[in-house]
Amino acid sequence: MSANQQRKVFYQMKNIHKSFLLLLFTIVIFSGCSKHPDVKYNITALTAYHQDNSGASAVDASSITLPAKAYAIRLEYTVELYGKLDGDPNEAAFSLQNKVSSFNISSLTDYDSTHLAYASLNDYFLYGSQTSRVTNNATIDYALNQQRIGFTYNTSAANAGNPWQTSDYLVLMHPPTNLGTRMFIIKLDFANGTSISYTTSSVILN
Amino acid sequence: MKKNNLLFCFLFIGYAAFAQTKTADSTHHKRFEKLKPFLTKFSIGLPDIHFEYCVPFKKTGNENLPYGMDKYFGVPKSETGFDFPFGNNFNFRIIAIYYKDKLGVEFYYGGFGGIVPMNDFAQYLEKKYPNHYISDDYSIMNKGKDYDFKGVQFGITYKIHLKSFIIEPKFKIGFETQYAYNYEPYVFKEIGTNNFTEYQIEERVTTRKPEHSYHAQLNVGKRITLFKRAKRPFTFEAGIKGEYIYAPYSLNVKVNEHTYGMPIVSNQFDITNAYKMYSFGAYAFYVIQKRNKKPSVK
Repeated sequence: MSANQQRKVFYQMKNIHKSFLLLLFTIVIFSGCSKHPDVKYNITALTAYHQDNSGASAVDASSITLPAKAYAIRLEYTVELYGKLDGDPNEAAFSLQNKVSSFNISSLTDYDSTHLAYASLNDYFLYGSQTSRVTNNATIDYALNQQRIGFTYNTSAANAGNPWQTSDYLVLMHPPTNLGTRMFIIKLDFANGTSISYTTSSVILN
Repeated sequence: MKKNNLLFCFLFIGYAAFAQTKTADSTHHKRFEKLKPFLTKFSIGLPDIHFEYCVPFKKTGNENLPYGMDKYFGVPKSETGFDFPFGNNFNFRIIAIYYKDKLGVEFYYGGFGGIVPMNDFAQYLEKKYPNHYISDDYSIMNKGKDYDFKGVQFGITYKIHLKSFIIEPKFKIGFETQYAYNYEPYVFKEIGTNNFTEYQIEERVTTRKPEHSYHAQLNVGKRITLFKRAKRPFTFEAGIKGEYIYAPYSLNVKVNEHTYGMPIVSNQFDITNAYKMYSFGAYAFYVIQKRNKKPSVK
């Protein structure tokens, strides 16, 4: 093979290399792209359950008498898909369509001398997705600002269809000075002007 | 989909390396003609592959640290190391140049370090908070504390040729950054109450950056040529290696303890120490070889 032929072959090989690299690069870039649908949902109902948080994690109360210093509330939100689910929920971003604009928990009766009946007790509770581990900054305001209230990421539920339930927890950090029977009112206001309110059953905190 | 991406990435990188090797080796081409006299005396060391077993020293010098930090900064477990990005330990020679295939300078990107198992530290915390649930037990028990040094390394080496064997002592100096970690706080919940305590460890590197590490290495290898009669023989060097690493470092450590509703209690102290380990393993790399001018004819 002459020098010219060798050079020609060399350049041909080089071009093949370049083309192949470009092809691989294109495949790498575009193979990662797929349709990521949004799973939009709305909170349609709220139920609250008294919880005993004496153990490693809270359990729904089996009696109406609970230790005040280990009291928690499980908030069970019923959520429904908003619109049609188009695509695989496993690769979806879940978002609440009708945002929660305010959250308030209060007592039907005077809680203490500074928190009379119907006064907000938001400062007395921490808000989390589990009771065994709430960080000190997990306040209700923080959860509200971070849009964590009623947040759900449940691909299997979304696959199974409407509606599904998701739970958050309120952990009481300031037990009442006057122990006794309590009923709490939990109220959510939404961005579209609607509200959901739930009044718990009686619980004896001692 | 992610698996495919990974596969394509490896194919891409592999092919890129292969293509570059071929280009570098194409000295027959005219534009490399001028380099021929140069290349007769100097040779290029291509990226190599190391597979090694890395053993940190049993004594870390942190045995007397307070607040359980003697266990937190305890003895890392030994681990195997392979090329980047697998594991804490990797040794990747980007390029090297040798004079008369003897004296050489090398340029590496490397990483070393280890993971301290958290069992002892978890036991320390259990004793510290006897009436608490370790609500974050998953993190404590399964997440080790990393000693993690990564950066470039420059080496000087001398190859001693003994027939087909090569004995190669090396000395490398590294310019690494130690990664300091501020993990999420461990949260402890008191039994029977809603009282929580957070325990967090914040690390800050106080060594002047980049840090230096010192590596003494000895390789014993053999050159093997395959397809000797082919137009382009395939030559590679493979061998075993032993390496000692010494890396001084300084850390400022802050231990925060926060029982909700109470002021945060912080304790700070400095660690001035050295990370020491040795590794032994195998290595291999492709050797650029002049192509045969006339292929042999049977």
